[in-house]
Amino acid sequence: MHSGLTALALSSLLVIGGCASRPPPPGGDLLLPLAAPAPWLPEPSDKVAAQAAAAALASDAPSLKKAVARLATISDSHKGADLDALAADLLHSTLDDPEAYRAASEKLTAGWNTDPALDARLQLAIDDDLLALAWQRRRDTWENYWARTFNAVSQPLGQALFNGFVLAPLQISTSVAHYLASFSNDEALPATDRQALALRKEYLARNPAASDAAYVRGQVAGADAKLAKTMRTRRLRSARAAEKAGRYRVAGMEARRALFWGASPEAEKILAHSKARTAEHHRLFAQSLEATPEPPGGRYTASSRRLAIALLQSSGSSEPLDPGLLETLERESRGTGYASGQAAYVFALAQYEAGKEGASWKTLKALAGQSPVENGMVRHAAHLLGDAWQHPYLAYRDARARDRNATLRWRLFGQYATANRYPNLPRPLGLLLESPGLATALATSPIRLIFGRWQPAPDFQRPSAVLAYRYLGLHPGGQHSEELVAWLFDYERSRDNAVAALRLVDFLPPTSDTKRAALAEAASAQQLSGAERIKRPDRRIQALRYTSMEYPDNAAGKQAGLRVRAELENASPQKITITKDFLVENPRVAGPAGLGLNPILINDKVEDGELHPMGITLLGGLTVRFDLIGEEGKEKSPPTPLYKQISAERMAQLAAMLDETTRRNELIDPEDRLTPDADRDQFLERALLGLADRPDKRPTAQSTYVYQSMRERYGIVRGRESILPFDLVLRGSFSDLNLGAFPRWRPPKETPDIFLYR
Amino acid sequence: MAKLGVHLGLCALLGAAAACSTTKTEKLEATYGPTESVVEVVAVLRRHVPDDTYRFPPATDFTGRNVYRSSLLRLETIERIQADPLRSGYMDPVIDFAKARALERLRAYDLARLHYLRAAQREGELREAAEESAAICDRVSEAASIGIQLENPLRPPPGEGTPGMDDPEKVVAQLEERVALLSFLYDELEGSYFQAVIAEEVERADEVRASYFVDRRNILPNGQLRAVAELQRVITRHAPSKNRLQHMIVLANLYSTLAREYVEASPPESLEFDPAEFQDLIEPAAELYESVAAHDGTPEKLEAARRLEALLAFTLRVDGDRFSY
Repeated sequence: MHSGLTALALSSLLVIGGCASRPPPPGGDLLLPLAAPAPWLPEPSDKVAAQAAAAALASDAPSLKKAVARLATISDSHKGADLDALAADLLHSTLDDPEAYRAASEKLTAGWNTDPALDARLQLAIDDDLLALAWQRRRDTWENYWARTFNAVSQPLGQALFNGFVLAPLQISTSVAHYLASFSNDEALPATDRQALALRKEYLARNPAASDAAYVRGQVAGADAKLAKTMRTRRLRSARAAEKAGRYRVAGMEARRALFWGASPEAEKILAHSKARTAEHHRLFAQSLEATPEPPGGRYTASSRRLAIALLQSSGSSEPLDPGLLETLERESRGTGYASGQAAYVFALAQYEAGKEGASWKTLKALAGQSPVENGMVRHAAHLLGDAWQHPYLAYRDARARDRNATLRWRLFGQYATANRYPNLPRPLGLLLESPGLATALATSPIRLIFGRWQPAPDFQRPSAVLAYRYLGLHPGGQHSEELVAWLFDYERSRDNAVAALRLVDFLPPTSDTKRAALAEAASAQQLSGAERIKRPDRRIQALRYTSMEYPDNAAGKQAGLRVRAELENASPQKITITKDFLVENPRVAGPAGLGLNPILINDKVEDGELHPMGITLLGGLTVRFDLIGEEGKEKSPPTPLYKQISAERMAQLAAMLDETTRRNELIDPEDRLTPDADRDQFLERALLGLADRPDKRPTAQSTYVYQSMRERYGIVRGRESILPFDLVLRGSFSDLNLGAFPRWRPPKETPDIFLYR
Repeated sequence: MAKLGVHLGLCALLGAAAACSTTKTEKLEATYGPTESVVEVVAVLRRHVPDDTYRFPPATDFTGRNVYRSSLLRLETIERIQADPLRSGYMDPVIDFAKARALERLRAYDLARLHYLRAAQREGELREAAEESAAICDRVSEAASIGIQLENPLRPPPGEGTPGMDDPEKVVAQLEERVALLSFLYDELEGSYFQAVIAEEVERADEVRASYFVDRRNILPNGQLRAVAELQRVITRHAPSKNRLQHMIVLANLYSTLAREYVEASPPESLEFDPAEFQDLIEPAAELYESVAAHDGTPEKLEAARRLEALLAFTLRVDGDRFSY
């Protein structure tokens, strides 16, 4: 926070300095004087329209109708071409029935004479019909099915065309099989139908007495049943998987979640089974804690007592066990039975504490291999061996073996190794369906090995790395630490994590200075790039400063230091940029009713002064930076900044015109959308009210929004969506050696809120 | 002759096309005058004045902003851009009245009252309605100021806080007085759009009351039970509200917090841990989250689903032999 304030203070000084030191552009002042208030008297159309607006607000329908009718007969110089249409819309806005409003608006948009912005606004209201939207979502569902069917036929035919129909029967039959199998992934109620259901429910909530309410209620009931089925199936799938994996507590929980969606015998069964298994687990657990009486004739010996006391005494100190006792334990551990098991277990502990890690695990492994029925200590030994916290090295070795297998499978079978396209089908059937693809992938694996090396492999080694780090944390000087550090170093290097590799390199055998320096360079560059990605200015400066202090001798470290300086020099509460092209495209913003920019600055003549393409930047408060083309006269050269304080009135005028213009642009052209930016809006709203003179210096209040022209955003020719419902695809694949050209039906676009229905 | 007809037809078509494109260009560049601009905003606002914002979320305009806030901002913008024409004052009552209508939906009753009073200063159709609405705003504002208020945690009120905050009975009595006044007004305004605004205020009073007990649950006797009961009261009293899912999440959050506090105080491996007590906290939280997560199309669905996952992940910390939900 402190650094942010310092930065702002510094920037203010620089701003003031900038104002004083820079000359104005050669053609005159940057801004034109604000226009003096012009006389304006309302004409009859203005007065009648005001009466109509007042009547609408007062819900006085007769007066409103009268005023609207009168307005239609008036013609004067103030009356705009759209006033009649707007007055009609005002009249419609008092209609209580939303359907009537939509119908009236549709009628209003039917003519030629309405403004496109008004047309667009009315069209949005017309489209906001819950039942029509529900129907559109239902249609999306059917279009998705159609797209899948169409593509299932067109793709194999297109590919067959290229291979001369030699493989056509195989390709078509495979495609049909996959098409049929794909239905196994479908849910009873797809996301688009869930959208339709939510819309219909909202319709009923808003219009409980509508004439078609009974019909819609029927539709909702049907879809609700399907939704329950969908959710029940999902939960049951999880419950089944958990039960299969022996995680009975989770299985029971998922079964309960399935039952939330209605009765299900299978869920009941899983719940009962998991309850029984959990109860059994508890029983066994309780049994394991029971102290069983000694068999008849048996009793604890003096050596048992001595051992117990020795163990308890050594538990509070680092004193090793008595060598004589250890010798006895070693001897006894070679036998069989409970007493030898105890001896072996204690002996393994003593070995471990004496630093003989490997020997200790060997003793425990031998013990774990015995029968748990005859020897009560076997389960304890087995648990130590299997617990990834107690024996992380063994867990690491197992994970490494799994990694290698997974990597090999991925190299051989490509995507088939990691993804199961039909998880709801029996596994053998799924494999049968995938068998042609699997065979091709296997056959082409050498090609992928040669040509597909650029394709990044999934990180199969991550679990091993976690276990290796765990081992190093538990046993920094352990028997295997050197091996694990070396492996981790290679692992981190392989995934370009130079910072982590640099941390590890100091624990490796001495590395050459050149290699270490290169690593430090890479680490500093990584740190710098991470710092640059931080959006909040104060945190970014903090991270840059840390990088420069951590790596003072490296190029990236020095660059970070320079960046800190530049950030402090250029810091400002706001950085809202309006590009030159935006000002040219929206002359009202630049004009006297907006910023009042001197037109010579955007007339494309460098000799009388010209704005740089970067345009102007609102820096917070009333300060504006004008970026002008420099003395070189080239747009590509760095701009020459000129700082200027503008009046609160001009700032308010600019904020108002920006808001009005962008709003209109957004209505007329849906692609000309304003990206949401709460800080920008807050700044402009305050400016509009004349409150911008006190800049908000909090780093979180800074906006870096850039108002760009459509040309800057989309280029000279804007990409339009094809009017055809399908794309023409030319596809070649290394994995299955296929080449083909075919039309692919585009599935309907998902609505932005689809994620709320999954 | 036929050829001439074809030529004339083509010329007519070309002419019509040219005329259309010219109109289109002009229209794209067309800007509204002061009257048109104000009429447009009033039309948009007027359409949403009768909306039941207690039961349904407030409408949004095409930019996704709350329509009342958006209308207010647009009116401010128009006042700035059309400052010269509007200085003649012919639209003043309309603008003031429209702003007031927007402000009262944003809980700025005092400002709304001021704008209504300004609208009422001028002769015209709006005078009576403005006076009436100003009186309503006055009464709502007065009622809403009774009792404790929700505090901004980042900007607590200066001084020692609201007097009487330590006495729960007094706090409840004040809030009941607030609700009673609002309820009288609600009945008086039968059929008015303002009923939705008042219902929102009653809901807010109940939320404030529940929040008071949740905040002081560790201080007051039987505080935990009272806090749960108060949140349940909000859920049952405001079942038709647009915020009902949020109320359920708040209650589930309290159960979840209690479960965490329970585990902190009585770790599962300790001798004090009672699985049944723990289950009493986890089960209702999980059920409430599950129930909210079942509502498609609402942001609460995501919140509840993720919180449920978090709750279940938390229970994994509790040993299997101590807890078997």
